[in-house]
Amino acid sequence: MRKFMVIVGLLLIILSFAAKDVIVVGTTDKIRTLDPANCYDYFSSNILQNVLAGPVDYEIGTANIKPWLFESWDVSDDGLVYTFHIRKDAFFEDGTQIDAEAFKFSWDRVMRLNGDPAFLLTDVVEKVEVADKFTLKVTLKNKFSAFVSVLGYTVAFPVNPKVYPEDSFYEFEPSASGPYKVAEWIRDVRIVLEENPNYFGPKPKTSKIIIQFYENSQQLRLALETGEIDVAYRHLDPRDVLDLQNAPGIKVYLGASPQIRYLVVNVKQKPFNNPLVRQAIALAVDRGTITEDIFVGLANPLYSMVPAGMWSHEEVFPKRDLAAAKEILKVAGYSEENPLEIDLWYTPSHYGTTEADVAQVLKESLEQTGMIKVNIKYAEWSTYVEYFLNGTMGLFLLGWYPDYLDPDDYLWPFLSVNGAKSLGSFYENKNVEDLMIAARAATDQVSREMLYKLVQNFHAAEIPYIPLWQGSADCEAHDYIKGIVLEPTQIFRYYILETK
Amino acid sequence: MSLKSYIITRIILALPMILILLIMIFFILRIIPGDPVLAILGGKAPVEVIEAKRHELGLDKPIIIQFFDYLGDVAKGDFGVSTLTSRPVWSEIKDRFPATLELTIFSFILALIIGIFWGAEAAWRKDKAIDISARVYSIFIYAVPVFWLGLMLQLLFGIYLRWLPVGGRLSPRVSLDIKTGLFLLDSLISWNWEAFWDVLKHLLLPGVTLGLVISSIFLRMVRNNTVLMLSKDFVKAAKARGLKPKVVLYGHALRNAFVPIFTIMGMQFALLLAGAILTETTFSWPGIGSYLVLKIKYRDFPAIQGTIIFFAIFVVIISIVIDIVNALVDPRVRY
Amino acid sequence: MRKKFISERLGEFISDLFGTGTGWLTFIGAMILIFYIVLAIFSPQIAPYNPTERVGRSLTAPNDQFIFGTDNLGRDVLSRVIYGARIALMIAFIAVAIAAGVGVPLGLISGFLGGPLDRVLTLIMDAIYSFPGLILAIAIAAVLGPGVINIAISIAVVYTPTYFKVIRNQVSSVKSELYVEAAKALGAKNREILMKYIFPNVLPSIVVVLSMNLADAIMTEAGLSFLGLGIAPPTPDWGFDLSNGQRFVLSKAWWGLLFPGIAIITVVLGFSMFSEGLNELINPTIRERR
Repeated sequence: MRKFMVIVGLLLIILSFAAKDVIVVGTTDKIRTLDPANCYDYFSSNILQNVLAGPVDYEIGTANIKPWLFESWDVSDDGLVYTFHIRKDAFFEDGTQIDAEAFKFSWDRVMRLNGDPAFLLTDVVEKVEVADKFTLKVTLKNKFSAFVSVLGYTVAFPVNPKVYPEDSFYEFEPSASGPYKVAEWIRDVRIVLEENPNYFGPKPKTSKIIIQFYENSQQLRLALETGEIDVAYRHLDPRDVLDLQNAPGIKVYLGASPQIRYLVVNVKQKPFNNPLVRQAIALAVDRGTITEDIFVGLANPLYSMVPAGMWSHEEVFPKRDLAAAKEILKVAGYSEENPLEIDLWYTPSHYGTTEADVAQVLKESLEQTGMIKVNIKYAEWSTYVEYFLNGTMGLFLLGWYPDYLDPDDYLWPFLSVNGAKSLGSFYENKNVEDLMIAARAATDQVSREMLYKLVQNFHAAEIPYIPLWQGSADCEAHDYIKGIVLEPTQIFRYYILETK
Repeated sequence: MSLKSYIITRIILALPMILILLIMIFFILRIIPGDPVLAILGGKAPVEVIEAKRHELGLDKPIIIQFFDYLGDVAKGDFGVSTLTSRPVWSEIKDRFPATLELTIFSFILALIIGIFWGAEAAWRKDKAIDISARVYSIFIYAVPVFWLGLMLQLLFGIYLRWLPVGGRLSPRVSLDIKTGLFLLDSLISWNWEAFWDVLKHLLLPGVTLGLVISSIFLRMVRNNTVLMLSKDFVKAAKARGLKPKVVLYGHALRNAFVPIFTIMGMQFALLLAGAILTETTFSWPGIGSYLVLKIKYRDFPAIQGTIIFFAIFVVIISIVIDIVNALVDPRVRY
Repeated sequence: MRKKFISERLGEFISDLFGTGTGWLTFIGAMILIFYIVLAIFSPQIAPYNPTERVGRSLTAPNDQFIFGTDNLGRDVLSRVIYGARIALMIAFIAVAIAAGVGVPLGLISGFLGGPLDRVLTLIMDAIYSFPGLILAIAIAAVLGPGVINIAISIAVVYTPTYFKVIRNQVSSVKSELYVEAAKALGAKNREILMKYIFPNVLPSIVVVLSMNLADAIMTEAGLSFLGLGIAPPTPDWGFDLSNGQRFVLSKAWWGLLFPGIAIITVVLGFSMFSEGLNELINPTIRERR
């Protein structure tokens, strides 16, 4: 028995030495699919971004686009035809060349299979043609200045025509073309990435990355504290992040997140069709308690739909003012004896475990006026979506994660008539829509910025949405891990992680 | 009736039961307000895309047609494709089921061990401390919600003492060659002691939680049967022949206590499954119980249906097996 | 063979420990029940704080001001446990009422009339019955969504077959008794026979099953809300508070887990002791029959 223990001990020591070139990352996120044609959730894209090479990349730590598989591109004068030049030294894991044919195959496949992210291409792309082996010609339906930004998303990443079926989704390990390949994948348990020797770019700093899946924040945190994992990425509860900030040997990284959270106000539903009611609510919501108490300072109050830090952002919403809110409620005919009664909706799992707490704080902050009575209601995500699409809910929490980093993606989807319909506010203002169309067509940033500021002011005056807070991205790691960069694009690169 | 025709009748009787469950589950799930397509695309995709997806999934057909389509598919062993992951439900269940199986088998064995040894000892020293404590234990354990027991064990052994992991099945750095999906078995097959130890550590808390909860019934059964047995003549005779007391106890008494255990096993099975769902959720055990809870959150119709039908078929098969074993073990069961 | 209620099992365990026919156990059970019923009815008067309002710092350990501590939103755990009794008992009583309200009439009719209707009903009830209750309740709760009545319905579906089976079997045996035959021969209407002769006969069983069913209903409700399928927060609910408390185990906030759990356990024990006593009182023969 003793001998056995010694052997086990030795084995463990050897393993811990051998493990030097391995970094273990833990997450509570899940992989849905590793087929770019169907991948439209954060963590699946995250894996693909490390396993596949895409048309374009971002410079590390910035939102500036740089060439990747596409060495360069030209745009026709009318802005409709893009010609992409593909690099000649890129191969898939099995040695298949990544050429214009592969791109055409992949993009046509995305559009034909019509998976979840397909609309990003189908909305814009008219046709894809192979000009020659390494030149791809793409014709757009309309002029769209952010087209190249869309190509930064995994939906545009080419897949191996020899591996991926033409007319169905592929549910296994991807054929790698990026820095890593998938060495092992046990669903919901872990995925192991190993260096891809066929990748044309720089070698990863760490040759093996193990990504372990956890169900909840507590387990993730415990795993980090016990050293079972080196890095915890995505979804520790705010309180756990706070506790870890004071833990010895652990470093907490905070970065910007493009996600915004807000209340949607259905402007067609009583009593919210009364602008005074919307104003009063906007004045009474307590963003500070949400960001400080629930998110323990890891989120920031937000006073416009365009997040702070993005160009054209302007704080158009007023700070909390209970007295003013009361005045407005009085004008609207409400009093302490005759309070405004409203339902506040939230969805419990889609936005993490803190959502119920947020609803509770919002209820309290509105009720502090003494003239509002709030009933909290909830529905699971799918029900919730249906409810907001058919206008059942009058006031509800929602969040937005942009598809591309541009003020347009924080305004158009909300304030255009169709957009507002798809988000349940049913806001309609043709003038605002025209302003945004003008901003889309404008080429110089100054006039675009001016236009977007105008749109934000319109929004704050009419209040179909009440911006609440913007989150921050966070990552926790042992202090011996280097290379963690939380990027504005939210790309998390495992290949620049290393052990000190 | 012969054993063979008994088995056949038993299976034929089970079929309408499965069919009724199928009908119920299918139609119940269609009443839900909430559209699986919307749950995935969540207000971002344009209307045409949503319509196309709905068409692709056959959700735009009349509900009766959808039902018969579904029946046909199930009959072919096709449980449909998860709307959440686009994977066949059957392969998702196959991925997850071994975890549940491992957990339940472990718990069951643990419960048997607790039941048999504690029960026998309690009977042997009737009305002594060990016996009284067994009875107090049974009451307490049975009144405790399984998830609460799990939480308490988690708090004590996972958080305060840090002896055992509180979730998952395998540590990230431990490699294991997976063949059966029962990790304990897999590690034994490949003589991978490191993995075996790691898997066992992960299995311990959830396994003990579930095991304790079902142990009280075994404990009572074994104790009461053994008390009865020990007073019988053949045990006294064995004692008189000079056999060692423990040999008498475990040899004779237990063998005779086993038969009723088989009888209640079928009853225990539902408790075990329900307990497994709660335990899996408490310990994030990646089995089909937590799978079902997860899929309900996303209104993944095919997956929910598939899982519940899987449960239904599983329950029916197990009860048939238990009935048959019963018939074989206990000659009093007439078939 | 019939699945046993938690109350029945616990009743067995308890009589193992203390012997049968112990009136004082029934008495203790009744006391616990009365205690919780009083808590439920007078929670606004008893609870020191509003259970849905922030009254202290987040996750305060038990102290003089908050003897059960506070939860992550600074709400008083004691007040939430007290108000939790309200929800637990309300759902349990409604669920049991629905289950009996559906199961008993169906059982009466099915058992009395027999024939194809009886066969179909029995088949359906058997199908529901053979299925693990919690899974069924989960599916139905997910369909119906949150809300007291909805949760009660999902729990009721699980237990309806029990009422149906117990009543149906009793009715089919009672219906061949002499006095029923006599009444029939005298030209009594079906309705009259059912109400006058059969129903009073099965009433004791209904009462016993009802009382035993309550502990199960509470346990199932706690399980559902633990899985996130209960009533909408912030309404205090033991099961939900437990799953909420689980988020803070690493902050070692044990008080959020311990007290709601103890409440569930004591209420289940109380119901079991009481119903076991009631069982022996009303129906002394039932022990032999099971």
